[in-house]
Amino acid sequence: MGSTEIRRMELGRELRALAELSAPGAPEPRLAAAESFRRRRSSRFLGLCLAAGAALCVGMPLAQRGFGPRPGLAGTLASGAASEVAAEFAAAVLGPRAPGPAGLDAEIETYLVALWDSD
Amino acid sequence: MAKEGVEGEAELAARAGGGDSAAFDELARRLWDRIGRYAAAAAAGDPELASRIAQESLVRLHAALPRFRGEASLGTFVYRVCAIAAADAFRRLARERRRLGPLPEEEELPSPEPGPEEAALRGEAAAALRRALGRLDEGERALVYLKEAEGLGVAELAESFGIPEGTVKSRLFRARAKLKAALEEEGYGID
Repeated sequence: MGSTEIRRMELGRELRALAELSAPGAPEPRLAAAESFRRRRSSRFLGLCLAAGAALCVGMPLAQRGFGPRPGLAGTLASGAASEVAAEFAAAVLGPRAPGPAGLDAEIETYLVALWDSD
Repeated sequence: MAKEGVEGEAELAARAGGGDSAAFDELARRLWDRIGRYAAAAAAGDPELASRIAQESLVRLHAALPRFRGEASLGTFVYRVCAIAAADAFRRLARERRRLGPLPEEEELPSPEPGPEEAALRGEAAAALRRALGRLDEGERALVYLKEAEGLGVAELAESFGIPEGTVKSRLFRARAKLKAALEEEGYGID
């Protein structure tokens, strides 16, 4: 500053004006709900997949003992878990108008894909 | 804010916390201005960072609403969520910067050049304030903002930040002194 002149600033008013000026645009509550859901359910879905894996591991010794293999057990359990999570997701994010996983909006599908990918 | 509006928001919060997604949509729209301004203040006027903080606040609000019992006011509950979201955003930013290394001519905190809109609207004062805010940490900025611009009292600030009232007073004193000194370097005194 070359000048020593002190200008006065009404702090509260200027802070509010600056905040209003740089505040973000419209909210995205559905994406927020989807992300919240993904974080909450992600660990449980992982748990279900691990349970499926564990079940398969249990199945193998059984097969070795002559009780017969259990093909696709992990896949079946994981698929069931996925359907359950998808339905719960649709209900949590879209509410009563949830059209079912097949008709989910593209933006919600993105989160479903992220859910599967992350787990 | 009208009393009726406050009651409406508390009702919406209760329904949203119970899993009513339409109530959450409506609540998010009603709270968005407050969340957005908080985020912008915490981000020292960086629009991109403000946007990240605000959206993260919504995500955390959705997760936290089932725990809202109405013991605190919804306003302080929301600001508490925002404070956690902002702290998280700054931790992530610090991690990203550690990973990528320092940027050329990096400043302490994001402080982009003001755009033409800002220059037209607020001019030098806004730019000086933004630079001065960049000298505070995000918690100090949020504290000063809520006190000076939103008019929260010490008790409400203590509730919002989950700290004792005495700590609020001392942090506020230090933050205001830092801001005052930074603004004086810019040629501004504060009222």
